Amino acid sequence: MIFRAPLPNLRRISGLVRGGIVVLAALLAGCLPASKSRDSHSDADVLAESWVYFRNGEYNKAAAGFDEVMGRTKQGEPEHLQAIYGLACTWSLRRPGEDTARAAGLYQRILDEAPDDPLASWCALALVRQKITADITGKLSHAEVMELYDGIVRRYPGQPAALEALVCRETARLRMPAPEGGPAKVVPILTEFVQDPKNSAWASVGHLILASAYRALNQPRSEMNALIQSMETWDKDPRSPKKDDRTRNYWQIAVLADFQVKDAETAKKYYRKIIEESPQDKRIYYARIALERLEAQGTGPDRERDR
Amino acid sequence: MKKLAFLLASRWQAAAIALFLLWAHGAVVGYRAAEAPPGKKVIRIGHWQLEPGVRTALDEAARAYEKLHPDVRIVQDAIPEGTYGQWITCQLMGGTAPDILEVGIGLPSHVWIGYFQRYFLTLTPYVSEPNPYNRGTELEGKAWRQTFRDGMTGGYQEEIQEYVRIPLSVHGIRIVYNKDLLEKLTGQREAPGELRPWLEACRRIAAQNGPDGKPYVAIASSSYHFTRWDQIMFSPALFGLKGHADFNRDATLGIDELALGIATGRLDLSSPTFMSYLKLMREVSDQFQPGYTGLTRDEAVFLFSQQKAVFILGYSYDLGGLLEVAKDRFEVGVLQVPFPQKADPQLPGLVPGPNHEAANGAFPFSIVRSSKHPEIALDFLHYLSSQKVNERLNRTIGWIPNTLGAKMDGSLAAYEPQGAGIYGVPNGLSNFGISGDSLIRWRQLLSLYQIRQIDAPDLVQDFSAYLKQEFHKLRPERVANARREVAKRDRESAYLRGMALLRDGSADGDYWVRYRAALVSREILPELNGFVMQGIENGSIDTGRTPYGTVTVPGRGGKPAKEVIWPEVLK
Repeated sequence: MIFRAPLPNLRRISGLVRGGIVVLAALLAGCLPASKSRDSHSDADVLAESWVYFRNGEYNKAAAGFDEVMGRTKQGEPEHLQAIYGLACTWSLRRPGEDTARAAGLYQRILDEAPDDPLASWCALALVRQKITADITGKLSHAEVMELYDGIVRRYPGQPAALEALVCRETARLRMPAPEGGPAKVVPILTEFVQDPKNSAWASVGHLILASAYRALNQPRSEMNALIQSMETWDKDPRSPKKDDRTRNYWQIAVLADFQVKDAETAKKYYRKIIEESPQDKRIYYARIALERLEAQGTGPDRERDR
Repeated sequence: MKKLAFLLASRWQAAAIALFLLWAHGAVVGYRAAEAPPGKKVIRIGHWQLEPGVRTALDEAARAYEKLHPDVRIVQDAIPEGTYGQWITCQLMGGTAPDILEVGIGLPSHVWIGYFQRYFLTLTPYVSEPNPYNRGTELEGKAWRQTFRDGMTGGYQEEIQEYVRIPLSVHGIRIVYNKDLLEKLTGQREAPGELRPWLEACRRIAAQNGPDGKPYVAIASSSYHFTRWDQIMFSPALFGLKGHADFNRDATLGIDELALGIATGRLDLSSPTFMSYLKLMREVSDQFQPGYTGLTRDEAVFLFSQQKAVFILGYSYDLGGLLEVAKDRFEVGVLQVPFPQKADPQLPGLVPGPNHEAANGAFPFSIVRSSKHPEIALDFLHYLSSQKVNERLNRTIGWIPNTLGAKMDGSLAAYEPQGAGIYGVPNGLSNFGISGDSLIRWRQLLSLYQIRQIDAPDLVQDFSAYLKQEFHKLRPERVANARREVAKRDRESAYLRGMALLRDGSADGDYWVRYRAALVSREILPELNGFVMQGIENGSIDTGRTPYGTVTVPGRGGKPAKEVIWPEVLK
């Protein structure tokens, strides 16, 4: 009896629910023209919007956007390839819900459909990265990692993806034993790499890796020069508040020059840079004291000028 | 008959519920209407600052802004700190979040980064434009980010390479003390600024009993305060170890470098420097009230307000509350942390010097993506961070303004960041851990040391032995963690690469530049650091006596020249 009483009310509620559904359907119908208005977006706009969804972690919306462009563009068109690439990245990198097999299939599709398109090299690199990032327990040896990157370097010489692959390959090579790997092997390869103007966008990174190689080879002057070169070839992000903040690099160069290379002029130059360019940095206190010591030793440019 | 009675009763119940719901609806609608009169654009601002000063200051700023913009209504949502993380998560996921939110507490940092990407607007496009409310001041025409004391570094999120927050204040930390009680117990009205005299004053305080017959406490503390003491006073004592373990030569001693140094025998925890760190910790914490490790911040403040303790550690944002507590009862003084300024024979190996203090932006606000009026939200943040308004806002709250040229209240002068000086391990050593196990081990030992169940040599011996034995075993865990990070970093870089491929014609394009910067900082640099650390661990990289090397300094007073290491050379 107690349980029967609410039944008539429930019927009334279900009537309300039915009414609600009708209203909701009407509302949804009202929304349809809005979704159609998306056609007015250019494909590039939808692709950019989808990348923003990807960055925001809204992977379903990102995938829907890439899917939409894929559906309305023709095979071989640049936007079509961009959409496949975006979708592949989404399925590969989304967490949770990743589908790496599906992503690999999409990367492969670009490689098959447009092997000469610049995107093909990025897809090949992405397939390599999939293998490397999946290897959480470190089963792949450094030699295998190096070989994977080397495949991209050989297949797409000079292309941006190949330059990135080369940088990653040499980073992996550092840890490999001689004769195939090791710092001594890295030095000539990267020295040639950074001297080629075609690689200028990656020169700074190349010098940075060279500095680590020289450190392992216990060649402090070369290490210092590589660090200086890395900084001088650095391309700045003009919007970053840290774009001018090279204090960490200045410190590395200064102490290397001061303690190991015994190049007082270079040490003073970079201690001064810390003081002048980064007044809030924590290294400034000892940069000042070090500068005072070096200047008291009497090899500063001021003293030379005085002579 | 019974059935009829039941039906009537049940209908009455239903009617009562319906009436209640109607009233509740009416109340909510009425409340909302009062907050947001029809025709007004409402901007809600959510924060966790329940102190009356903050709400008053924001309210004053809001009313002044509304006078300039009569079609806008600003409404505050002040939420308790303890539930802020859950509240913000529900609001953001439900799409009901205020337009502007204070950000940064209640959730782990990686969750905040995810939220910044997903739920908040990036402010990067606006930070290079001038703040229109700075017109007529020396900041007129300057890029918005250049009008902050911290250069808006407190608003930049490195991981996503975007500006996402506007920090409206700067915070500092000092020792706050009861001047009257200090004078009564020590005869001194001003607290000594040097370590030894200050510790002596603490001992004299603790040697005397209060009106209740119990001894006075020199320093009111708690588990919350201990980590702050570690960061600002104990950990800087480790500065001298940098010369031995700064393997990546970045002038910062990371926990991983310390652990590697200990495990490889390059760093001896029984060295004078580390023992002085522990000794300083013991000397200062001996002046805390018994059982402080189990107490919370509020309990320490309570002890101070009851005039049973003389000193307490206080941020600039605590000062208003502490002054309120002391009002008409006792005078409050503010003291810089008395770190040794010259060599202390009782603390050998400790590098003396002032503590490094920089202006770090705080009280940060972000704009929620779902805001109906993001342009007004942005304009209101422009307004709050303009020179005159930021000065007024922070003066009312009792905090330090973050806008250049905005003057702070005189009572906060002692909190002005001191600039250059020595510094310790980031976040102190309270959380020494390169893995979950090592963290637990360290905390257990440190807790025993804090409550005097073990002494410094026991702690050092136990932890050194543990690290030497376990460090190499922890490698697979460290490698796996690093590799998981690679996958995460790939996801973050993919957006920049995707946009670069879509928008940038050449390698000099904005997205490519940012992509390469991200790749280097997130992938190449950690790899190179790992290479160096591994080389040091297995001996393939020779660090010599120290990672920096040595330098010859001329002898003084006829003494011969000598080889010294950093930082001794800098003394």
